[in-house]
Order: sequence, then structure tokens, then C-alpha cells
Amino acid sequence: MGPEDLISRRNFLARALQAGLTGTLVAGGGILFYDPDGPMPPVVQAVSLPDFSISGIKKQLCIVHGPDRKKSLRSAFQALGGMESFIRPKDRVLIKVNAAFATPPQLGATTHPELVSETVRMCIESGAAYVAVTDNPINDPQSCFELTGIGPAARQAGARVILPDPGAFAPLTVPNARLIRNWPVMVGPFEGITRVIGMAPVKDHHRSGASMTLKNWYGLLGGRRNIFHQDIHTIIQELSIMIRPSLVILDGVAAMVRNGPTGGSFSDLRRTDTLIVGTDPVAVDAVGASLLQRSLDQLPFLEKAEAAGAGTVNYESLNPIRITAG
Amino acid sequence: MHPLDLKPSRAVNSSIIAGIAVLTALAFLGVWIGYRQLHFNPAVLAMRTELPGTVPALQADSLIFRIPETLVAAAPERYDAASLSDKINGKAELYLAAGFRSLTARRFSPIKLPDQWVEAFFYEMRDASAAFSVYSMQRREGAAPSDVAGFSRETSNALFLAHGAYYVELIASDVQPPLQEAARNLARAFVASYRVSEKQITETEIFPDAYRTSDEIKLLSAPVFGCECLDRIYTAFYEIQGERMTAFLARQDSAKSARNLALQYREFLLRYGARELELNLDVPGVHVLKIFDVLEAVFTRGPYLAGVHEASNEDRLKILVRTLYQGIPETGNGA
Amino acid sequence: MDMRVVRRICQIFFLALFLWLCAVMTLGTGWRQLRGWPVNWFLQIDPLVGLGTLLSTGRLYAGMIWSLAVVCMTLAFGRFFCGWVCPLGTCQQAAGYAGRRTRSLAGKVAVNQYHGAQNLKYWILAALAAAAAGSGMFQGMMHVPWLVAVIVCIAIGYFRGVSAFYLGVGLMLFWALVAGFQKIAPGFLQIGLLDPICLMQRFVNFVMLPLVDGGIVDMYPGNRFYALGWFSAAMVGFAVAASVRIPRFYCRYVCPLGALFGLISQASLWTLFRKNVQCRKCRVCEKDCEGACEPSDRFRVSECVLCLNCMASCPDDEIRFGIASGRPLPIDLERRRLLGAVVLGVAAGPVSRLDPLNAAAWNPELVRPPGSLDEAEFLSRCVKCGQCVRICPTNVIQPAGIEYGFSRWATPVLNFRAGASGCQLNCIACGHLCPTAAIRPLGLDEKKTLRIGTAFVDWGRCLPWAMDRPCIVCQETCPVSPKAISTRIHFSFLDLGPLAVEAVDAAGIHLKESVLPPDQLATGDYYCVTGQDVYLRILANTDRLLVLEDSGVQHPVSEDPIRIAIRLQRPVVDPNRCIGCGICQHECPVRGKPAICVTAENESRHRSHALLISEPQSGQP
Repeated sequence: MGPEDLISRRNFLARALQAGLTGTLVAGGGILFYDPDGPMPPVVQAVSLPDFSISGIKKQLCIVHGPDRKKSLRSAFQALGGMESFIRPKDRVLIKVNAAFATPPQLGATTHPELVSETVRMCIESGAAYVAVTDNPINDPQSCFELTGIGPAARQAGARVILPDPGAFAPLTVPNARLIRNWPVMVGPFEGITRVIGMAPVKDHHRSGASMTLKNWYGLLGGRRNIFHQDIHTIIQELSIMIRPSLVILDGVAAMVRNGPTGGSFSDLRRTDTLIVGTDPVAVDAVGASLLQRSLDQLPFLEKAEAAGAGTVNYESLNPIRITAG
Repeated sequence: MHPLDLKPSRAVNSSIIAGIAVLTALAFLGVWIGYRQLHFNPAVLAMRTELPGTVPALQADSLIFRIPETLVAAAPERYDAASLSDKINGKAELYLAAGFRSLTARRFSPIKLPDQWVEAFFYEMRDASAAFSVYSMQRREGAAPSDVAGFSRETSNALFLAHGAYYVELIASDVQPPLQEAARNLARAFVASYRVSEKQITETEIFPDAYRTSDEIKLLSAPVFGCECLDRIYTAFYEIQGERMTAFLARQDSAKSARNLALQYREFLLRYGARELELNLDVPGVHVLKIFDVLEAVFTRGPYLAGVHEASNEDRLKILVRTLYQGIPETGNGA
Repeated sequence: MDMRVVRRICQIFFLALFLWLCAVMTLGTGWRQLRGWPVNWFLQIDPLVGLGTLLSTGRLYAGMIWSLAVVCMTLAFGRFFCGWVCPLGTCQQAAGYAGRRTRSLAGKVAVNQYHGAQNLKYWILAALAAAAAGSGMFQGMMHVPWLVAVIVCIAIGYFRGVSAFYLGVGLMLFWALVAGFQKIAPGFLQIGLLDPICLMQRFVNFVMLPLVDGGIVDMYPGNRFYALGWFSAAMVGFAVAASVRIPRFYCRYVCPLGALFGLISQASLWTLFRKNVQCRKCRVCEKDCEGACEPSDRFRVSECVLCLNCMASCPDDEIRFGIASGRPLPIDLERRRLLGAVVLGVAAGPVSRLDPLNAAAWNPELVRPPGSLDEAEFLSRCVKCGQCVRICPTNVIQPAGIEYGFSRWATPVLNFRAGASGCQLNCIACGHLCPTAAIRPLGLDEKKTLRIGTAFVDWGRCLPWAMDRPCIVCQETCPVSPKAISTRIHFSFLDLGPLAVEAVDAAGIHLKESVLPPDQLATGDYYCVTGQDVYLRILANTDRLLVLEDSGVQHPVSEDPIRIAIRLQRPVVDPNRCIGCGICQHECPVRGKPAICVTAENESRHRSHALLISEPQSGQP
């Protein structure tokens, strides 16, 4: 009987311990990750964006006539009691521009860079701690922001430009909505934001009749959003309650009256020399509709948005301030 | 020296223990698997759930047969259990209770008589006996047997038949020989297209012909003779020495279940005040009971339950019981 | 008692059980139908399936818990699974026995020598496991116990020096963690390709049973067809055929499951060992050594499949099964090659992600069985066992070929032409059979509304749309209630042109010329269109007489020419109702390339494949 035949107590314990420990580790790990139910059917999450509208002040609307965007903007806010009444110190501001197409600013298909830079500057002057500019354009985001001039203008004025990235989108459900249910929406840029400003030009839009500040929120949608064109007025209605901005700025200095929303020619534009600033996006768009000489019947989304509680189409009821600048 | 080391002296023992342990484990595994298979997979259970409306609809769609060239067919209308009463208001319950699947109704007009038509109702039933049941329960005044199908009869402007799982009514819009001929052609075409296995219903063949009246055989659904336990019972009328009696017959799954059913029926009669009589009858296991003024008899032979309903005279009852008993084939036991 | 006899009983028992559990894979309650047989049991006790899905999903799904018992038993006894349970092992052993029966003793010993290439299986395992771990779906792995487990593994590996096992595991777990943060790679679970149980399951499901079915026993009505069955046959066939020359060829060189057991057996308590260091070196013990584990020399525990042949054949009764003193011979995995394999496997995930089929260019022909998870997660769960394919009562689920991308080979895809029908409305078999929940189990109610695709009518091929022939078989066979296919009435004029009328009388309309095809317009679909655009159904016709239905409208006056039209019902699909079952496609009389085809558009499992904005309120994305 050789020596290997005998196993020492110490050796036995060591091996038993090894086997036992490994067994415990494996079994413990297995039970830790045990999943008796398996994957569940995906559920609709009731996530929504916070309400950014400014509480405590009554709805305001200012219509400025004048060819110079910067001057009009300044005088509008002067008339409304200064940017300070909208942006408080340490506010974190997000500006949603329309940068949908990679076209030069003169064609009026996108938010004008002058307006962007001036708004950013005014926000910073009012003490905003952070200003960001964002959109989820139709064309390549990088070139859209550069070619429209919005990107450089915003950066120069001291704002951050946030381009869409896949991580910025999360499924969102608008309460009681039919279309925006568990749909990817670009919510990333809204993190930590306290004030939201919408900025859009007045444009003809083939499908909806007109693209102004309400339609501008379409740019927050992700995924295969073009399927919403099957019911454009309802989607604009749902967008109007998905996001409630602090204020909106509608650029009607050169309105795109035909061939929208891309335009492409100066002949598509008409000088209307108007800038509208207000806290009620429906009222602001109703003013914009008059610039396009379109009636409410031609733009059903306005009354739909009013019905949803996003504002009023009867902008005269807000006692708009009418001034002329420059 | 560790006990788990297999020493030569103990190797035999150890290996026997180990071998037995392994084989026992296998046996346990086998038992567990045998037990496990009794708990059906949800997929199997889902498949067994009967869903009204879907499958019958598909089958109704496939109701296709060669329409005789002399007829022009209108578009078929289809009804399921939910919509049946839209078509045949009032009588839907009769069909639903008997095992209704679908109804295809269609009008056929002879080319030569475009203003007239034969309306055909193809009732698809659960099975052949359900089809026979609705056929037999609807008596038509003045109906005469017809030769178009095994179970068929006709009146001057209508033809009724049970064929396989189908019960078919053909109603002509007017009393006219060409229309009746069209109905017959239609029925023959339908019967020729839908072959059914012979002898789906054996009871109708078994009722002895002696003393039987010309009335047709009926298939009744529960409750038969007021007894909830009697379902799907065939009845035929007999006349002995001027007295009319009903004989009944039903094949059960086995001789045992037939005997149980006979006892249940007897219990039912006793519960309602019947009194058991001792008659000298050479039919084994027959129970004769007197309830109110009438006599009831029930017995079994093989898988068949049989008996006589509402007889008034013991002798005549005896004759019919004996006739009926002898008519039931002996080979039928046990199956 | 000769333990070899017990082993053989055990092997036959498990092979028979395996075949039985495959044979009962038909839907029904008969004694040789599905009933409640635990048909996934072999897949569930397979720790490689458990480990692979754990690495790729971070979860150990339901029945996989069985595999823990097998791991624990391996920790006690070594690779008992390979030698006593594995059906592929048993087949190879039988082939090997037959192959070397006539050889001389020296010849037998020669084929059972250890070969360095036996390390190949460990590298295969490392690559497959690393690929699975690279999938980056580690939501569940972020908590502390997991981190501790990783650190413990790496620490043990560092201090123990042996390290191959622990270092390997540690590396994989570490990678899993990193991948979890970065989410750079989709699921790349390919263990099913080489796992012996999956291999055998595919072989029996796709090759053996379809050949037996109908010939020897009737399982399913009609023939069963499986795409690429020959490939499954070739893989198992090669493994068994090679075993004739090299016993247990697959176990020794390829099998990743055997490799996993080999690694675990390093810590096994009971092993085979030799009593004396010095033996006569007669090498008789190696004549039937199944694992080629060198019983006469160093006794490689990791290669030993516990066939016990050495114990029985040793003339000096030197070989024992027990707790040996000393450590088992470590596996030398050649760290660089191991690392290479891990890197290869890890890279496979991201590389496979580059395939455009995974994203924008998803193949709409890829219609998955109902309940399939979204594609990335599906691929991180499917082990290609073929259970869903086999159970499908209509044979509509088929193993995918490589046209859907390499990583999707043998995964289930619906083929509406191969099947005996489409996906049945009341059938939920595939989800309840899937061992890994790649197809999650559905309830009947959910099944009836779950969309696997949408049917599209091809106007260029559809009889009523393209060829003026009445049809609507698709509408009639649509099982959805209310039907997802409706019809639009359309009257199409026949090529005959305006026909001059000679006379109108009680019999009907007499034409001037004999131009009509006799008796062919009496189907009820043809109409006579008068000069006043009144449509009257034709009841009968000769070559110049039209018998019309009496609709109360005046028959045309003789001078007005008439035309003949056919009334067509043209099918239109409602994408809100269509669930993509494909019954319409299967029944379409245009057989070769049907005029109505289901593609994966609008399938419930992918929000991005949605076709419509109005979602049913069930909340399916």
C-alpha cells in the first residue's frame, strides 16, 4: 500500500473546501440571477416632461413690427417687462430652435442665427447659469447646425449646442394621448432645465398648413416619427401638451409663404416684418397664421391645441402689446 | 484511511452500493418524469380550448359542392352561434342546444324559373347524431320519406335531410314540381359531395320492425321523459293490440355505463313515487316500474340502454320489451 | 457489481429518454404527444446553455436552474455527464467501440493517446463564452455581489497560480462588466452551434424524426420539412463517424460543454486515480480509455469522462475512484492562446454588430414566431435547439438559413410556403416550449392580438387586382375576427367591346353576333351593362343569348349596345387588424410567389417597425 493511497485529513479538508466553495459560488450565483418568470411583455411607461410654463404671471403677448430681428427682440422684451421677468438668476435654459434642414439662414427654413445669439445673450444677461440650444433635425444634425449658422451663433453667444445622440431619447407617454405613447422623445437635453424657450420661423407646411412654434416641438420626437404625418393635426395637438414652454418666439420677419417647409428660393419668402413673443404658444401661432393669411379652418391643429388646453387661439383676449421697432 | 476510498476488501460492497444508488436515482428520475407529464403544458391546454366562431366559420366557408347546372346560386349567407337568431328567429335555441356550429343559407333558382327559388339551409352540427337530433325533432305535417339521403323526408314544397354532421332544409318558394325536382337535385348533389362514413348511427337500425308504426325515429336531448340524466335517446313508436307505446334506445360507451344509466333512471322514477314491479320476464336485469297509471321498463344489453315508456298493460309491455331485447345485437357488449 | 454495467444502463437510459422526449414533440394529449413531458429537460440540465444565456442576458431563466445541480454533481464526481448522460457521447462511444473492436491491443492503446489538440475545446469554450458575455445586456449585473464575485475570482486566480479556470472566468466577468457599461455589442450567443445537446436536439428534431415520421410512426399529418436539415445531419454524422477512428472525437477536441465540465472537474472531490505512482506501465488501461486522459501516466482529470474502463482493465487493480491526495493535473491552456480565443470571442460581438442586418437593413422577410423578443435580445437568448421548430403544428416555423446573417443560422423563422398553414390563432406552443424564453410564453388572449408581421397584397400578382379573375380566398381564410382583409367591389369590362343587341324578349337579350363563350358567364360574377349603365347579373348564356336576373329594371332597348363586366372583390388588408399569421399567404392560389405576403412590418416586438400611428390600447410597442 503506497503512500498516495492515504489521503491526509488536511488534504481532504482542503479539497472538500475547494469543491464546496466553488459549488456554493456557482449555486449562489445561479440563484442570484434566477429568473423564474422570464421576460415580460413591454409596458407603456407614464413618463412625461415637467411643465416649464412660468407660474404666477398672466399670459403675455407682444407683436413687434420691424425689419431688424435683434432690435425687435430687444424692444419686445422691453415691452414685456424685460427678460428678467422670464429668466431668473441661476436658471438653466434650453432653447429649442428649428434647425431641421441644412440650408442657409437667408432661406428662412430654420430659426435665424441672429435671433438665437441675441436670445442667448439676453438670457445670460439675466443671470442664467446655463443656456443650451438643441434640435433633432431631419438632415444630418452636425451640418444642419453649422450650415444654418445656429451652431456658431449659439456658441459665440455662450450657449452649448446639444446634438441628438441615441442616449438622449427615452420612451415617453403623453397622458391620454393616442399617438405619443411609449414613443422615443429627446428628453436628455431637458435634464436639470428650469426654463424652456421655443424659437421658430413662420413657414408654410404642406401637410399641416403651417409650421410655427407648436409644430417646432416635432423636432423633439425620435424614432420613425414621419409616420405621424398620417395624422399631423393630432400629433401637433399632443405635442402642445407634451411640452409647455416658458415662452416662445416666432420669427415672422420673412415668412415662408409657399413651398414649405423647406422653401429653397427667396421667392418663397415674403417680408412680413413681424416678431411675436409670448407665453401662450397657441396665441403666438394664431398671430403667425394671420401673417400667412391662413384662417383657423385651414389650420385645425390650432383649435385642437386650444381644446387640449395648451392656450387660446383668440390672441386678442390676451391684450397683445403692439409696438414698432427700428 | 478515508472511508470513501474503495479498498479491495470493501470495493465490492462499495460498488454495489454505488451501483444501486445510481440505479435508484434513475428510477426516481423516471418516476418524476412520469409524474411530470401528467401536468399538461399550457400550449396543450390552449389547443384544447374550443373557441366558438373561428373554426366553424372556416368550415362553413368550405361548404362547396357541385351545384347542378340547371340552377343559379345566389351568394351564400353565413351565420354562427351568435348570429343564428338573426336568420331563424325563434328556433335558434333548438339548434344551439343540440350542438350547432354554423349555418350557410343560400338561394338557388332554376334557370328556367328565374322568379322562383329554393332556399337551402345547411346547418353544420357538432356531429352526426346532433344533426340527426335536429332532423328528428322537427316533425312536418304531411311529410313523406324521401330517397335522396339516408335520413330524409319531403313535403310538397320542402325537403329535409340529415347527412353526416349536416342537417339540411330546402324550402321552395312555391308548390311546383320543377322546384321540388330542383330541391331533390340539389340534395343529391350535396349528398354526393359530402361522403360520410356508413353506420354513423346504429340505433336507428336496431329498433325492430315488428309492431313499429310508420312514424319516424326521434333523437331526443336531455331531459328525456323528464329525466335530466337521459340525453341523446332514440325513440320509436310501437303499436301492440291497439296500444301505442314508446320504445327507447341509446348506445353508451360501455356496458357498465349503460347499466349505471339504467339504475339512475330507475332511481329517478322511484324518487317520483314509482313502485317497482316483479314481472316474470326472461330479460335479464330488467326493471319495470309503475308510476301513476303507466308502466315504465328499462334494461340494458351490452352497451345499449333500452326500455319502454308509458305502457298501460303488463302483457303488452312484456311483448315489446322482449321484442326490443331480441333486436339488440349481442355482439355489441363491452365495446 | 461492475460499475461499467451500471454506466451502460445509465447511458442507454438517458439516450432512450432523450429520444423519447424528442419523439413526443407533437402537440396533443395522447400518450406519445407533448402532454406534460419535460421535453426541455436535457437543455435545462446543460450548464453551457445556462452559462451562455446567463452571460448574454444576465438572467438564469426558469428551468435552467437544473444546470446548477449538474455543476454541483460535477464538482463531486467530475465529467460524469459526458460519460454517463450525454446522448452524443453515447453515440460516439458506440461508434468508437465498433471501430476499435478488431484492433490489436497496441492499436487500441494508440487511438486513445492524449493529444495536445484536445485543448482546442477549451479555446472554443473561451471564445463562445466571451462572445456571449460581450453582448452587453447586463442590467442585472451591476449590483455589489456580482462585483464581489468577480474580485474573488480574480484574487483566487492570482494567488493560486493555477489560474486558468479562475482567470478565465474572472476575465469574462470583468469583460461582462465593462461591456455592460459600454453596451457596445449586441447579443452574440453562439454556444448552440456546438453545444452537444443543442446539436443532438437539432439532429433528432430536423433529421431523424422527419425521416421516421410517416414511415414508421405517424406523428404529424403530412410530411415535415426543415431547411438545412442536411447541415445538422452532417455535424452529428461527422462527430460519430470520426469517432470510429478516434474514439469520442467530438468530446475530446471540440465539445465546449465537455470543456466546461473539464474546467469544473479541476475542483472535483472524487476522481479516478492510481494507487501507486509506480505502475508496470503495461498501458492495458488505455485500451478503452474514452477520454484519452492518460490513466497510465498523469491521469488528466479534466479529460476523464468516467467511463471506468481503466479501472476494470487494470491487471493489478491499481486504479481507484475516490478522493485522491494531491491536486489534479492542471490544464495547461497556454495562456496566450486562451487570451487569443477570448479576444476573438469578444471581438465577434462588435464585429457581428457591423452587419447592417442588425439595424437599418433589417430583413423584413425575417418573421419570427409570436412572442419573440426584439431581435437583439432574441439573439442573446436563442440557442438554436429547434424545439419551437419541431413543436409547431403547421411546420411554419423553420430553421433560418444564412441569408439572414450568420448569427441567425438555425434560429426560428416563419416560412409560409413550407408550412402546412400559417401561424394558428389559438396556438401558443412555441413560446411555451422555448427553453430560454427567446420566444416568451404567451397567453391566448395576448397571442390573438400580437402582430408578427403584416400581409401585403401584391396588386401585380393578385387575381382580382391584376387579372380580372374572382378570388378572395385570402379574405375567406383570414382567422382574425373581425377579418383583417376586406374587399372592394370593382366591375371590370371584358375585352368583348360593346355588343349590338338584336332583340329583347322574355327569354333574355339576343345579340346580333355569336361572340359569347357559351355557358361561361353563368358563374354569378358576370354582369350585363346596358347603355344606361344599369348592371344586371347574368344567370345563363349561350353564344348569343343572355339570361339576366330580374331586378325590376327595364331591359335595354334593342338599339343600345351592351357590354359584359365581371364583378370583382379585391382584397385590402387592414394593418390594424392583421396579425401577420400568414394563413392568407399560404392559401393564396398564386402558389409560387403568393400575391399576398407577410413581412415583418408592423410586428409588435419592434417599435421601430411600426407602420401605423394608431396603436391598439394593449400597450404593445
